[in-house]
Amino acid sequence: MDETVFIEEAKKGDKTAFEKLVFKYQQKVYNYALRMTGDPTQSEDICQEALIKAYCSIASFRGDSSFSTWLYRIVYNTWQDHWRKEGRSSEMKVYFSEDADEIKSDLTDAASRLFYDRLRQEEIQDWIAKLITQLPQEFRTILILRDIQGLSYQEIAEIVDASIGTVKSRLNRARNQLRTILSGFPGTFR
Amino acid sequence: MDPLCKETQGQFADYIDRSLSFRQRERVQEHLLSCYRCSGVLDMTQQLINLCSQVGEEPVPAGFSARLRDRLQEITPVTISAENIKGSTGQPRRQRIHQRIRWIQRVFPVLQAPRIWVMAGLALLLFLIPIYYYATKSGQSGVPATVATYKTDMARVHVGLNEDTLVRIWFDARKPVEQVRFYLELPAGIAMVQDGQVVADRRLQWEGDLQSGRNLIPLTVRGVARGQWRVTVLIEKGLARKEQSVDIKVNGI
Repeated sequence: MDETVFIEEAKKGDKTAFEKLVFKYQQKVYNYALRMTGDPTQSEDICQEALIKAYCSIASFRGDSSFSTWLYRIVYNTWQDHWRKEGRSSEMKVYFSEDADEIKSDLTDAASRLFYDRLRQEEIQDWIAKLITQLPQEFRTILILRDIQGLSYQEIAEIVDASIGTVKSRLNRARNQLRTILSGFPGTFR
Repeated sequence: MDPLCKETQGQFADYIDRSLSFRQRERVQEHLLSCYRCSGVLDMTQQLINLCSQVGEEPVPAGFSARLRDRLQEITPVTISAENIKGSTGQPRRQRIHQRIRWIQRVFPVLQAPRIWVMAGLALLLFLIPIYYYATKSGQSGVPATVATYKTDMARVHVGLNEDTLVRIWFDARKPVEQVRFYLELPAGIAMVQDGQVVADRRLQWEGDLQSGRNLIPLTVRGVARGQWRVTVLIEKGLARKEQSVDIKVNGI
Protein backbone atom coordinates (compact mmCIF):
# COMPACT_ATOMS: atom_id res chain seq x y z
CA MET A 1 0.00 0.00 0.00
CA ASP A 2 1.10 3.56 -0.66
CA GLU A 3 3.04 5.21 2.15
CA THR A 4 0.81 8.30 2.06
CA VAL A 5 -2.21 6.14 2.92
CA PHE A 6 -0.46 4.88 6.05
CA ILE A 7 0.52 8.46 6.93
CA GLU A 8 -3.08 9.66 6.62
CA GLU A 9 -4.33 6.73 8.69
CA ALA A 10 -1.65 7.34 11.33
CA LYS A 11 -2.68 11.00 11.47
CA LYS A 12 -6.13 9.82 12.44
CA GLY A 13 -4.59 7.89 15.32
CA ASP A 14 -4.34 4.45 13.69
CA LYS A 15 -1.48 2.81 15.55
CA THR A 16 -1.32 -0.21 13.26
CA ALA A 17 -0.85 2.05 10.24
CA PHE A 18 1.90 3.86 12.09
CA GLU A 19 3.63 0.60 12.98
CA LYS A 20 3.54 -0.47 9.33
CA LEU A 21 4.89 2.91 8.34
CA VAL A 22 7.86 2.84 10.69
CA PHE A 23 8.59 -0.84 10.08
CA LYS A 24 10.06 0.16 6.72
CA TYR A 25 12.47 2.63 8.31
CA GLN A 26 13.14 1.31 11.79
CA GLN A 27 16.28 -0.57 10.79
CA LYS A 28 17.73 2.51 9.06
CA VAL A 29 17.10 4.84 11.98
CA TYR A 30 18.21 2.22 14.50
CA ASN A 31 21.52 1.84 12.66
CA TYR A 32 21.93 5.58 12.50
CA ALA A 33 21.47 5.80 16.28
CA LEU A 34 23.75 2.79 16.75
CA ARG A 35 26.58 4.39 14.78
CA MET A 36 26.08 7.62 16.70
CA THR A 37 26.17 6.07 20.16
CA GLY A 38 28.07 2.83 19.62
CA ASP A 39 25.77 1.29 22.21
CA PRO A 40 22.86 -1.01 21.13
CA THR A 41 20.85 -0.48 24.33
CA GLN A 42 21.07 3.30 24.20
CA SER A 43 20.31 3.21 20.48
CA GLU A 44 17.13 1.27 21.05
CA ASP A 45 16.07 3.68 23.80
CA ILE A 46 16.63 6.65 21.51
CA CYS A 47 14.80 5.01 18.61
CA GLN A 48 11.82 3.97 20.72
CA GLU A 49 11.54 7.45 22.20
CA ALA A 50 11.88 9.05 18.77
CA LEU A 51 9.23 6.80 17.24
CA ILE A 52 6.81 7.60 20.06
CA LYS A 53 7.48 11.30 19.47
CA ALA A 54 6.89 10.75 15.76
CA TYR A 55 3.55 9.11 16.47
CA CYS A 56 2.51 11.93 18.80
CA SER A 57 3.45 14.63 16.30
CA ILE A 58 2.57 12.94 13.02
CA ALA A 59 -0.33 15.37 12.64
CA SER A 60 2.23 18.10 12.05
CA PHE A 61 3.87 16.16 9.21
CA ARG A 62 2.85 17.92 6.00
CA GLY A 63 5.09 16.21 3.52
CA ASP A 64 7.47 19.11 2.92
CA SER A 65 10.23 16.56 3.24
CA SER A 66 10.03 12.79 2.81
CA PHE A 67 8.72 10.76 5.73
CA SER A 68 12.09 9.07 6.21
CA THR A 69 13.87 12.47 6.43
CA TRP A 70 11.29 13.63 8.96
CA LEU A 71 11.83 10.47 10.99
CA TYR A 72 15.60 10.82 10.85
CA ARG A 73 15.25 14.40 12.06
CA ILE A 74 13.26 13.29 15.08
CA VAL A 75 15.85 10.60 15.87
CA TYR A 76 18.62 13.17 15.47
CA ASN A 77 16.86 15.64 17.80
CA THR A 78 16.14 12.92 20.34
CA TRP A 79 19.74 11.82 20.26
CA GLN A 80 20.84 15.42 20.75
CA ASP A 81 18.56 15.70 23.80
CA HIS A 82 20.13 12.54 25.23
CA TRP A 83 23.57 13.81 24.40
CA ARG A 84 22.92 17.12 26.13
CA LYS A 85 21.57 15.42 29.22
CA GLU A 86 24.07 12.64 29.67
CA GLY A 87 25.91 12.01 26.42
CA ARG A 88 28.46 14.74 26.90
CA SER A 89 29.84 13.02 29.95
CA SER A 90 29.75 9.57 28.36
CA GLU A 91 31.48 10.93 25.28
CA MET A 92 34.19 12.38 27.46
CA LYS A 93 34.62 8.96 28.99
CA VAL A 94 35.38 7.52 25.57
CA TYR A 95 38.14 10.04 25.18
CA PHE A 96 39.64 9.95 28.62
CA SER A 97 38.74 6.71 30.35
CA GLU A 98 40.77 3.55 30.34
CA ASP A 99 38.51 2.32 27.51
CA ALA A 100 40.30 4.71 25.18
CA ASP A 101 43.54 2.73 25.46
CA GLU A 102 41.68 -0.47 24.79
CA ILE A 103 40.02 1.02 21.72
CA LYS A 104 43.35 2.31 20.49
CA SER A 105 44.93 -1.08 20.99
CA ASP A 106 42.10 -2.78 19.05
CA LEU A 107 42.36 -0.24 16.29
CA THR A 108 46.12 -0.59 15.95
CA ASP A 109 45.74 -4.33 15.73
CA ALA A 110 42.89 -4.06 13.22
CA ALA A 111 44.79 -1.50 11.17
CA SER A 112 47.84 -3.65 10.83
CA ARG A 113 45.74 -6.64 9.83
CA LEU A 114 43.86 -4.53 7.30
CA PHE A 115 47.22 -3.74 5.80
CA TYR A 116 47.84 -7.43 5.24
CA ASP A 117 44.31 -8.05 3.95
CA ARG A 118 43.58 -10.25 6.89
CA LEU A 119 40.71 -8.23 8.30
CA ARG A 120 37.32 -9.82 7.93
CA GLN A 121 34.24 -7.86 6.83
CA GLU A 122 32.68 -7.90 10.31
CA GLU A 123 35.89 -6.65 11.81
CA ILE A 124 36.01 -3.74 9.37
CA GLN A 125 32.52 -2.74 10.43
CA ASP A 126 33.40 -2.92 14.07
CA TRP A 127 36.62 -1.06 13.54
CA ILE A 128 35.14 1.82 11.53
CA ALA A 129 32.19 2.07 13.92
CA LYS A 130 34.60 2.49 16.83
CA LEU A 131 36.62 5.05 14.93
CA ILE A 132 33.55 7.10 14.12
CA THR A 133 32.57 7.37 17.78
CA GLN A 134 35.84 9.27 18.25
CA LEU A 135 34.61 12.12 16.04
CA PRO A 136 32.84 15.20 17.45
CA GLN A 137 29.07 14.74 17.27
CA GLU A 138 28.37 17.37 14.61
CA PHE A 139 30.85 15.71 12.24
CA ARG A 140 29.94 12.17 13.24
CA THR A 141 26.29 12.52 12.33
CA ILE A 142 27.03 13.84 8.85
CA LEU A 143 29.67 11.24 8.10
CA ILE A 144 27.29 8.45 9.13
CA LEU A 145 24.40 9.81 7.10
CA ARG A 146 26.51 10.41 4.01
CA ASP A 147 29.27 7.82 3.86
CA ILE A 148 27.57 4.93 5.64
CA GLN A 149 23.89 5.45 4.94
CA GLY A 150 24.28 7.19 1.59
CA LEU A 151 21.78 10.02 2.08
CA SER A 152 21.86 13.04 -0.22
CA TYR A 153 23.22 16.40 0.93
CA GLN A 154 19.72 17.87 0.73
CA GLU A 155 18.32 15.17 3.01
CA ILE A 156 21.16 15.59 5.49
CA ALA A 157 20.72 19.37 5.47
CA GLU A 158 17.05 18.90 6.36
CA ILE A 159 17.84 16.40 9.11
CA VAL A 160 20.49 18.46 10.87
CA ASP A 161 18.79 21.77 10.07
CA ALA A 162 21.76 23.32 8.29
CA SER A 163 22.58 24.55 4.81
CA ILE A 164 24.05 22.23 2.18
CA GLY A 165 27.26 24.25 2.32
CA THR A 166 27.55 23.61 6.05
CA VAL A 167 26.90 19.90 5.52
CA LYS A 168 29.64 19.67 2.89
CA SER A 169 32.05 21.60 5.05
CA ARG A 170 31.39 19.39 8.09
CA LEU A 171 31.69 16.25 5.97
CA ASN A 172 35.03 17.45 4.69
CA ARG A 173 36.24 18.12 8.22
CA ALA A 174 34.88 14.78 9.44
CA ARG A 175 36.78 12.96 6.72
CA ASN A 176 39.91 14.96 7.49
CA GLN A 177 39.68 14.09 11.17
CA LEU A 178 39.02 10.44 10.47
CA ARG A 179 41.96 10.40 8.10
CA THR A 180 44.12 11.98 10.78
CA ILE A 181 43.05 9.33 13.30
CA LEU A 182 43.76 6.61 10.76
CA SER A 183 47.13 8.02 9.84
CA GLY A 184 48.14 7.39 13.48
CA PHE A 185 47.99 3.66 12.76
CA PRO A 186 50.92 2.47 10.68
CA GLY A 187 50.09 0.74 7.45
CA THR A 188 46.44 1.77 7.48
CA PHE A 189 46.37 3.16 4.00
CA ARG A 190 48.02 1.52 1.12
CA MET B 1 44.34 22.78 9.13
CA ASP B 2 43.32 21.84 5.61
CA PRO B 3 46.07 19.71 4.08
CA LEU B 4 44.90 20.57 0.55
CA CYS B 5 46.24 23.16 -1.85
CA LYS B 6 44.03 26.10 -2.71
CA GLU B 7 43.23 24.56 -6.11
CA THR B 8 41.38 21.70 -4.44
CA GLN B 9 40.17 23.28 -1.21
CA GLY B 10 36.40 23.24 -0.88
CA GLN B 11 36.07 21.19 -4.07
CA PHE B 12 37.19 17.81 -2.87
CA ALA B 13 33.80 16.58 -1.70
CA ASP B 14 32.21 17.65 -4.99
CA TYR B 15 35.06 16.10 -6.94
CA ILE B 16 34.57 12.79 -5.17
CA ASP B 17 30.79 13.05 -5.68
CA ARG B 18 31.37 13.92 -9.35
CA SER B 19 29.25 17.02 -8.98
CA LEU B 20 31.81 19.52 -10.26
CA SER B 21 31.37 21.14 -13.65
CA PHE B 22 33.46 19.78 -16.48
CA ARG B 23 35.82 22.74 -16.37
CA GLN B 24 36.22 22.62 -12.57
CA ARG B 25 36.80 18.88 -12.67
CA GLU B 26 39.41 19.27 -15.35
CA ARG B 27 41.21 21.92 -13.30
CA VAL B 28 41.27 19.69 -10.19
CA GLN B 29 42.47 16.72 -12.23
CA GLU B 30 45.22 18.79 -13.73
CA HIS B 31 46.33 19.83 -10.26
CA LEU B 32 46.20 16.26 -8.94
CA LEU B 33 48.57 15.14 -11.66
CA SER B 34 51.22 17.51 -10.42
CA CYS B 35 50.54 17.52 -6.65
CA TYR B 36 51.64 14.48 -4.72
CA ARG B 37 50.08 15.71 -1.48
CA CYS B 38 46.58 16.36 -2.83
CA SER B 39 46.50 13.15 -4.83
CA GLY B 40 47.58 11.28 -1.69
CA VAL B 41 44.81 12.89 0.34
CA LEU B 42 42.29 12.08 -2.40
CA ASP B 43 43.42 8.48 -2.46
CA MET B 44 43.14 8.16 1.32
CA THR B 45 39.74 9.85 1.36
CA GLN B 46 38.41 7.50 -1.29
CA GLN B 47 39.70 4.52 0.66
CA LEU B 48 38.05 5.93 3.75
CA ILE B 49 34.71 6.34 1.98
CA ASN B 50 35.06 2.85 0.63
CA LEU B 51 35.68 1.52 4.16
CA CYS B 52 32.66 3.40 5.49
CA SER B 53 30.45 2.04 2.74
CA GLN B 54 31.40 -1.47 3.85
CA VAL B 55 29.81 -0.89 7.24
CA GLY B 56 26.66 -2.93 6.97
CA GLU B 57 23.40 -2.67 8.82
CA GLU B 58 22.74 -4.35 12.12
CA PRO B 59 19.29 -5.85 12.58
CA VAL B 60 17.08 -4.15 15.16
CA PRO B 61 17.21 -5.95 18.52
CA ALA B 62 14.82 -8.84 19.00
CA GLY B 63 11.45 -7.66 20.29
CA PHE B 64 11.96 -4.09 19.08
CA SER B 65 8.62 -3.91 17.27
CA ALA B 66 6.77 -5.59 20.14
CA ARG B 67 8.19 -3.13 22.64
CA LEU B 68 7.24 -0.23 20.36
CA ARG B 69 3.69 -1.63 20.07
CA ASP B 70 3.42 -1.89 23.86
CA ARG B 71 4.52 1.70 24.30
CA LEU B 72 2.14 2.90 21.59
CA GLN B 73 -0.76 1.18 23.37
CA GLU B 74 -0.10 3.37 26.40
CA ILE B 75 -0.62 6.53 24.35
CA THR B 76 -3.98 8.14 23.78
CA PRO B 77 -4.60 8.50 20.06
CA VAL B 78 -3.73 11.92 18.67
CA THR B 79 -6.29 13.07 16.15
CA ILE B 80 -5.31 16.68 15.62
CA SER B 81 -5.46 17.46 11.95
CA ALA B 82 -2.43 19.17 10.50
CA GLU B 83 -4.75 21.55 8.64
CA ASN B 84 -6.00 22.80 12.00
CA ILE B 85 -2.59 23.95 13.06
CA LYS B 86 -2.37 27.44 11.66
CA GLY B 87 0.96 28.40 10.19
CA SER B 88 2.49 25.04 10.95
CA THR B 89 4.54 23.45 8.23
CA GLY B 90 5.70 20.61 10.39
CA GLN B 91 9.20 22.03 10.36
CA PRO B 92 11.23 23.67 13.08
CA ARG B 93 11.51 27.45 12.83
CA ARG B 94 15.26 27.34 12.23
CA GLN B 95 14.78 25.05 9.27
CA ARG B 96 12.17 27.31 7.72
CA ILE B 97 14.63 30.21 8.08
CA HIS B 98 17.38 28.12 6.44
CA GLN B 99 15.03 27.23 3.60
CA ARG B 100 14.24 30.89 3.04
CA ILE B 101 17.95 31.74 3.05
CA ARG B 102 18.60 28.93 0.56
CA TRP B 103 15.76 30.22 -1.62
CA ILE B 104 17.18 33.77 -1.54
CA GLN B 105 20.62 32.37 -2.40
CA ARG B 106 19.15 30.48 -5.35
CA VAL B 107 17.41 33.61 -6.63
CA PHE B 108 20.45 35.81 -6.00
CA PRO B 109 23.44 33.50 -6.53
CA VAL B 110 25.82 36.36 -5.76
CA LEU B 111 24.79 36.07 -2.09
CA GLN B 112 26.40 32.62 -1.93
CA ALA B 113 29.85 34.19 -2.00
CA PRO B 114 31.13 34.62 1.57
CA ARG B 115 32.99 37.79 0.59
CA ILE B 116 29.65 39.51 -0.17
CA TRP B 117 28.60 38.89 3.43
CA VAL B 118 31.95 40.09 4.73
CA MET B 119 31.67 43.28 2.65
CA ALA B 120 28.08 43.82 3.77
CA GLY B 121 29.18 43.39 7.39
CA LEU B 122 32.00 45.89 6.95
CA ALA B 123 29.68 48.38 5.26
CA LEU B 124 27.21 48.05 8.11
CA LEU B 125 30.02 48.52 10.61
CA LEU B 126 31.25 51.64 8.80
CA PHE B 127 27.70 52.95 8.82
CA LEU B 128 27.13 52.23 12.49
CA ILE B 129 30.45 53.42 13.93
CA PRO B 130 29.89 57.18 13.27
CA ILE B 131 26.33 56.94 14.59
CA TYR B 132 27.50 55.15 17.71
CA TYR B 133 30.39 57.57 18.16
CA TYR B 134 28.20 60.64 17.73
CA ALA B 135 25.44 59.29 19.94
CA THR B 136 27.92 58.26 22.61
CA LYS B 137 29.70 61.57 22.49
CA SER B 138 26.41 63.43 22.70
CA GLY B 139 25.23 61.19 25.48
CA GLN B 140 28.38 61.69 27.52
CA SER B 141 28.27 65.46 27.48
CA GLY B 142 24.55 65.89 26.90
CA VAL B 143 22.14 67.14 29.45
CA PRO B 144 19.41 64.59 29.20
CA ALA B 145 21.35 61.38 29.40
CA THR B 146 23.86 61.46 32.16
CA VAL B 147 25.38 64.77 33.10
CA ALA B 148 22.51 66.92 34.21
CA THR B 149 19.13 66.30 35.68
CA TYR B 150 16.24 68.53 34.93
CA LYS B 151 14.10 69.69 37.80
CA THR B 152 11.30 72.16 38.34
CA ASP B 153 9.01 72.97 41.19
CA MET B 154 6.20 73.88 38.82
CA ALA B 155 4.30 70.75 39.73
CA ARG B 156 4.14 71.86 43.31
CA VAL B 157 2.85 75.29 42.45
CA HIS B 158 -0.81 75.96 41.96
CA VAL B 159 -1.07 79.02 39.81
CA GLY B 160 -3.88 81.38 40.74
CA LEU B 161 -6.26 82.68 38.10
CA ASN B 162 -5.09 86.14 36.95
CA GLU B 163 -2.33 85.98 39.53
CA ASP B 164 1.40 86.10 38.85
CA THR B 165 3.49 83.29 40.28
CA LEU B 166 7.22 82.77 40.21
CA VAL B 167 8.13 79.33 38.92
CA ARG B 168 11.70 78.14 39.29
CA ILE B 169 13.21 75.71 36.83
CA TRP B 170 16.68 74.36 37.41
CA PHE B 171 19.20 71.93 36.03
CA ASP B 172 21.59 70.05 38.24
CA ALA B 173 24.74 69.46 36.18
CA ARG B 174 27.55 67.18 37.36
CA LYS B 175 30.04 69.05 35.19
CA PRO B 176 29.91 72.08 32.86
CA VAL B 177 27.96 71.37 29.67
CA GLU B 178 28.26 73.58 26.64
CA GLN B 179 25.62 74.53 24.10
CA VAL B 180 22.46 73.23 25.64
CA ARG B 181 19.13 74.15 24.06
CA PHE B 182 16.04 74.45 26.14
CA TYR B 183 12.44 74.88 24.92
CA LEU B 184 9.31 75.35 26.88
CA GLU B 185 5.84 75.81 25.47
CA LEU B 186 3.08 76.96 27.74
CA PRO B 187 -0.48 75.72 27.32
CA ALA B 188 -3.48 78.03 26.75
CA GLY B 189 -4.27 78.38 30.46
CA ILE B 190 -0.87 79.79 31.46
CA ALA B 191 0.93 82.85 30.12
CA MET B 192 4.41 84.24 30.57
CA VAL B 193 4.79 87.60 32.31
CA GLN B 194 7.55 90.09 31.66
CA ASP B 195 7.72 93.48 33.44
CA GLY B 196 4.20 92.92 34.75
CA GLN B 197 2.78 92.37 31.23
CA VAL B 198 1.54 89.12 29.68
CA VAL B 199 3.72 88.13 26.74
CA ALA B 200 1.86 86.93 23.66
CA ASP B 201 4.57 84.42 22.76
CA ARG B 202 3.89 81.15 24.57
CA ARG B 203 7.27 79.66 23.83
CA LEU B 204 10.40 80.16 25.84
CA GLN B 205 13.67 79.29 24.18
CA TRP B 206 17.05 79.38 25.85
CA GLU B 207 20.46 78.36 24.60
CA GLY B 208 23.70 78.48 26.49
CA ASP B 209 26.15 76.66 28.69
CA LEU B 210 25.33 74.95 31.94
CA GLN B 211 27.61 75.50 34.91
CA SER B 212 28.60 72.73 37.21
CA GLY B 213 26.03 72.51 40.00
CA ARG B 214 22.60 74.15 40.00
CA ASN B 215 21.49 76.30 37.06
CA LEU B 216 18.36 78.21 37.94
CA ILE B 217 15.90 79.74 35.46
CA PRO B 218 13.24 81.91 37.15
CA LEU B 219 10.01 82.33 35.21
CA THR B 220 6.97 84.43 36.12
CA VAL B 221 3.68 83.03 34.84
CA ARG B 222 0.05 84.05 35.13
CA GLY B 223 -2.96 81.78 35.21
CA VAL B 224 -5.34 82.91 32.45
CA ALA B 225 -7.83 80.00 32.41
CA ARG B 226 -8.94 77.52 35.04
CA GLY B 227 -8.02 73.89 34.71
CA GLN B 228 -5.27 71.35 34.73
CA TRP B 229 -2.62 72.27 32.15
CA ARG B 230 0.32 70.37 30.87
CA VAL B 231 3.63 72.12 30.29
CA THR B 232 6.15 70.38 28.07
CA VAL B 233 9.84 71.05 28.51
CA LEU B 234 12.38 69.94 25.91
CA ILE B 235 16.13 69.87 26.49
CA GLU B 236 18.60 69.16 23.67
CA LYS B 237 22.32 68.57 23.51
CA GLY B 238 23.58 67.45 20.11
CA LEU B 239 21.44 64.55 19.00
CA ALA B 240 20.41 63.68 22.52
CA ARG B 241 17.10 65.08 23.66
CA LYS B 242 14.74 64.65 26.53
CA GLU B 243 11.15 65.68 26.88
CA GLN B 244 9.36 66.05 30.17
CA SER B 245 5.82 67.06 30.95
CA VAL B 246 4.55 68.70 34.12
CA ASP B 247 0.90 69.16 35.05
CA ILE B 248 0.00 72.58 36.48
CA LYS B 249 -3.31 73.46 38.03
CA VAL B 250 -4.77 76.93 37.68
CA ASN B 251 -7.00 77.63 40.67
CA GLY B 252 -9.95 79.94 40.51
CA ILE B 253 -9.08 82.09 43.54
